[in-house]
Amino acid sequence: MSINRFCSLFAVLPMLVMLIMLNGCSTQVNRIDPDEVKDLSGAWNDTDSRLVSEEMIADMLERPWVGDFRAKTGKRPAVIVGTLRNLSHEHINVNTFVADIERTLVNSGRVDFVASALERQEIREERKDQDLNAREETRKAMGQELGADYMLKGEINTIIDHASKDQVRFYQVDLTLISLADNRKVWLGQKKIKKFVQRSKLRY
Amino acid sequence: MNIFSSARQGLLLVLLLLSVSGCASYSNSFAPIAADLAKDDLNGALSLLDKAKTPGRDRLLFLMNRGMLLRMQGEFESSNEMFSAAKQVVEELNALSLREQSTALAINDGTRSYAGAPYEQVMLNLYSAMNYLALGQLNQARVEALQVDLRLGELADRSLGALFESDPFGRYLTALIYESGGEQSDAMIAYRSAYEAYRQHQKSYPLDLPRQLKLDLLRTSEALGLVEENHQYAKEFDLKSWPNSEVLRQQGELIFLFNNGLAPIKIEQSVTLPVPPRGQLVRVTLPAYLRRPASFSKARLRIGGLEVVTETFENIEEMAIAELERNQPAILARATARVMLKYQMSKQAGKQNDLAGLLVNVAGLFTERADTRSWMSLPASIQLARIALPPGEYDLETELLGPAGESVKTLTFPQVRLAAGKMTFISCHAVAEGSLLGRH
Repeated sequence: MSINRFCSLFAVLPMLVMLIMLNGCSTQVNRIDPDEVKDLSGAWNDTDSRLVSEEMIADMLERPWVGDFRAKTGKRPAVIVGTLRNLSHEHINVNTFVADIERTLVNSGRVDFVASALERQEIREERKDQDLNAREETRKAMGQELGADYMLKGEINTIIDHASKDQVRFYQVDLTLISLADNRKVWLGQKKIKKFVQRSKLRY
Repeated sequence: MNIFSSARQGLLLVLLLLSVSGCASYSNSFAPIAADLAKDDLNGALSLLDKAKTPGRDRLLFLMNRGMLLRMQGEFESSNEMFSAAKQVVEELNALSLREQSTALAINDGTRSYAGAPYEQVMLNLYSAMNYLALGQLNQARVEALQVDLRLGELADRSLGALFESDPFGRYLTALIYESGGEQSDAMIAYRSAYEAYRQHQKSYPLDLPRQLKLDLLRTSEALGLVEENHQYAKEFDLKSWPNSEVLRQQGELIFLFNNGLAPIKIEQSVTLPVPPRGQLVRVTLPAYLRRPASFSKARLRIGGLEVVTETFENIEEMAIAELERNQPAILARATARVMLKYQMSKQAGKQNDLAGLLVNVAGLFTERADTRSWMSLPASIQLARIALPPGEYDLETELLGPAGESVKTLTFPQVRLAAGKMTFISCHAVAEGSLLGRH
């Protein structure tokens, strides 16, 4: 190879490098459907949250406790969501999971749903405010709240097994429905998710 | 053959080599930031860090340092944002880059992306956990504790005959997190692993088994009814009494974390030799650790009529030095291979033209720099004291002791609240005499 050709190769090379770098600079945005499954890192994501809450609540509403309660009292059971403990390896956003559960429960129309302790506080303040400022006929009285019959509690656990760059991530979500009247557990739900994550061994 | 064009070829090669290698040693660039830290000027240190141009390959260091400085300022939430971004970088850099490996072989080790020493990766989780504890978010701290377990498991997996496949303070902190959540058996396992980790580290450098850990092992094994294990510990540690678990549950506990000084910095050591017959120069550079003298030895705490001196739970300085020593053969092997390559390159260029040969030789020497990157805002050691008192509000007085045990500086933390069966975490980071950082 002549030296001149070698030199021209050196002149072309930086341009190529720059082109490659420029290409990496532009931001790309593609809109995707919220229901689309997109697993990136193998960590708990929106799909897991949605699938688990939908399946577990569907199972919960099919079980005999709803019918039993109706037969006994003639009313729909009122449910409240208590604490959901994250005992997993990841910083899971429990709030979206709880919101998913609440939505599925309320929309089923088979149970009544009571606002959480934090939300209740805000509503009580509003009622207090109404007492002072709202017109008589639109005023909502205090002490008329619907007390919950059952509390839903739960936890998310994980077991992670690994060998070199491969991981098996096992999630187990346990939900328990407890009767507030007598501490009876009327429903236990469990949902397991298992993922096999192969992390890439090479990068650019 | 055209002399001019071959000289140009040499020049281009030189420019290429110089443009890729960051010539200034990393540890030098951190010096002004450390000076600000010593002056107690956290805002100055932060703005220096933000202003400094960080190349993409040093992104992890930027995030780690930024997280640490924010933590010293008491900005625990923003600090954790940095640490979680840093953890993501570590995850991405887990994969091997052939491009970087070959550049490192041709130029120097500093051209690779910095993925953090194994102990630094563990520290990321530990400091995140300490941030969550300071925020009172025990569940989040527990997530970090589980991640520490996972990371230590991975380290044990990967390194063959690893020097440190465990981390004494890491295990101890996870034990504290489990215990404060009422998970006695998990805590016991973590205390046991901590004990093993101390024994493992003792093989590489002097490290005392903290008396506090002995008491914790005795108390927890007794509470769980592990009679035989309890007797064995009592015999081994020669201790006759320890706090009772039931009594402890009625009290509030103060966990004081004293981050002492700054971790050692890496400097460059090099040898330059001429190679006969043409007299080309070859240079080998290796990193070495330089200790940063600590202004303080221990902290003495006074609270509720009790007086307790902190114990060293983690000696980051010694750990870092031992870790580098273990890696030195591999670093030397890479440096030797690089010397051969650079020598061949300059020899080839020299065959065509003397000037080109000389230029390539000089560029080779210039770019031969040691990788002096490390997480330099870490403390030299982490010390801890654990004090149980009846629930209530206390004023905590902390005396920082000098090397000879003399009192150098006193700090007060007013109205420390201790609740029954709960742990209250307080930490401080002291960088130099008269300068105190991150009081919270």
